[in-house]
Amino acid sequence: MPNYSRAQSIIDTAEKIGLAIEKICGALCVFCFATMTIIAILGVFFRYVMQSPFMWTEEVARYLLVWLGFTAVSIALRQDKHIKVEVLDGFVPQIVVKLMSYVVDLLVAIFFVVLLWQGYLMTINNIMTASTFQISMSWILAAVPVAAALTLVQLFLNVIKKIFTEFVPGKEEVT
Amino acid sequence: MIGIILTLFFGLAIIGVPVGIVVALTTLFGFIYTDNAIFLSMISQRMFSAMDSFTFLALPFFLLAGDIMNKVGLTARLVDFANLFFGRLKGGLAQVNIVTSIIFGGISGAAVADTAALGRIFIPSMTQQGYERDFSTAVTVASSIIAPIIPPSIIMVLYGSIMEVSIAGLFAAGIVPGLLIGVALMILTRIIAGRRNYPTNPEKITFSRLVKRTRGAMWALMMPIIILGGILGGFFTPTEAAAIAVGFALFVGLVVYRNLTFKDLYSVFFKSAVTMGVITMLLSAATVLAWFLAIEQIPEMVAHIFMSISDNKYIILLLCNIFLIIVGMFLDIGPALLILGPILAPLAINLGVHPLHFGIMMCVNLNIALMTPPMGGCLFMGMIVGELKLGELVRALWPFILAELFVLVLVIYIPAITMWVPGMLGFIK
Repeated sequence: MPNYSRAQSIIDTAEKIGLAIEKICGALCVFCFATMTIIAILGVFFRYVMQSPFMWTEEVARYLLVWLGFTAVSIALRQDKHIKVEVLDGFVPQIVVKLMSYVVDLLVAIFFVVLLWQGYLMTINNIMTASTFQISMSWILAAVPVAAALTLVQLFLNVIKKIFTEFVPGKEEVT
Repeated sequence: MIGIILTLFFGLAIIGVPVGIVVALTTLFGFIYTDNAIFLSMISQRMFSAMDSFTFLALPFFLLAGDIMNKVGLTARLVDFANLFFGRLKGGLAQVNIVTSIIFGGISGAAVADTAALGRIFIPSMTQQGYERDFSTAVTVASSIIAPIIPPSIIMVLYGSIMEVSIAGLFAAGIVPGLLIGVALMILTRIIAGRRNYPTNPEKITFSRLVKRTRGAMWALMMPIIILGGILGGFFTPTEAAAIAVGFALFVGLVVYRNLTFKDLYSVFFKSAVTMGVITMLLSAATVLAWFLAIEQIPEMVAHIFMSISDNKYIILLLCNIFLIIVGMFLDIGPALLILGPILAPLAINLGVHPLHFGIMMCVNLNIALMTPPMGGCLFMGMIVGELKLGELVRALWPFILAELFVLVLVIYIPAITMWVPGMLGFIK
């Protein structure tokens, strides 16, 4: 059994790394969101006001949305925002709730490992290029495995925090 | 096969796996169970293509526009405006609460956001005027579900994305049902206010007040006109209108009122982005599940079960709705729409129900479920902003739920309520 201060410092480190990754992902999301907004407004402007639509605005906005949405999945996981059905809490003993939460983490991990693996295959096997740009679609498809990897990292950090909280006396679960 | 899917689904959901991941895992284990591991590649591909959609792009923009409008403080100005006209009714502030939700519905498309935004304004001022706290909260919660029924609506974009139904058509179809719920709530409030002798707003409508309040609310009132006029008039696609709504909200915050700092802006974008993370997981996973269910012919099996009970269209619709209400008690509206839409809609459409009619019916039904116990986003938000216990809120809320269920029955059995506006605007071929 590790001593308390050691456990606390591990929790703090996990929290710090998780927060740093969240901040970086958040900045990427905000960048995608803001750019997407500007591009979509430009698209409308050129279509109606200038009477000469840009073909690329729609496509770029869509690709930014893909990166925004998938990257945000990991932030939502860290902040525990994903929608859950919480019917059992309060009906079963605390210990069962705790054990179930580890089973849940394991199941979530299984899904994201599969997504990482399949997303990776999808990205490297891709031979298409984007329709109005001469860039490979792999750059956009990569959002899926990257998101899966980020989510796994955040999940891992959350689990670390949860495990070591057990060793710190008088402290409730952090997650 | 249905049994296995249901067991997997409920088993995973009940132990607390997030719903989006429940959906994805059900599909994943379903592939393995049916010995179709070759389909695993479909998971990443379908999830990607669900997001790579121009229609779906409307969703983050509507989300963002609503958040910015709240941050800028347009809601409070709308309340002042509505108070001048509707405050004079018996139970003034309660009526204003409902009317503001209707106008707010033309700006924002999310019910829980409406509960939070209006609750923070109305509950303190209503309790100050002598309304009971539970009644004030109940009115706020009940009227907040008008927002996602009156266009623009985030859940309708979700439904339209997965079902490939015209979003402009859904928007048009939502107007009358949304207004009907508003009217029903106002009548009920009038009855309760009469019995409990709630106060009215003594202010007279004078010219100077009219000008002042209208000027204050002008920007907030222009927004629904631009968005709805643009979409329903066929000038903009819903996605374009959503982008314009964001641009407009930014203009109001940065240029007109100048109360939006760069820091606020960053946090508003960030908050909307995290919500997008939740929605991304749900929509993309639901797309994979819908595909899996289709190849396993689950919608046909479900149709078969329903048809074995009755082949009467009206009875089937009633059964569908009872089923939806039960599901809605436990499941949030987004996942419920995304999972059940692809299963139930084909059944109804086969019986001659128009896709728009069925879509609106599902939206109204599952929105009401947002405030039915034991679980519901608006119910929980109401408990937070109203500082009430579940039982206290539900005791004040149930007459409103009944009134809304009555409107739901009208929506189910009188197709003209939904179909009239889209028909008039030419959204139905």
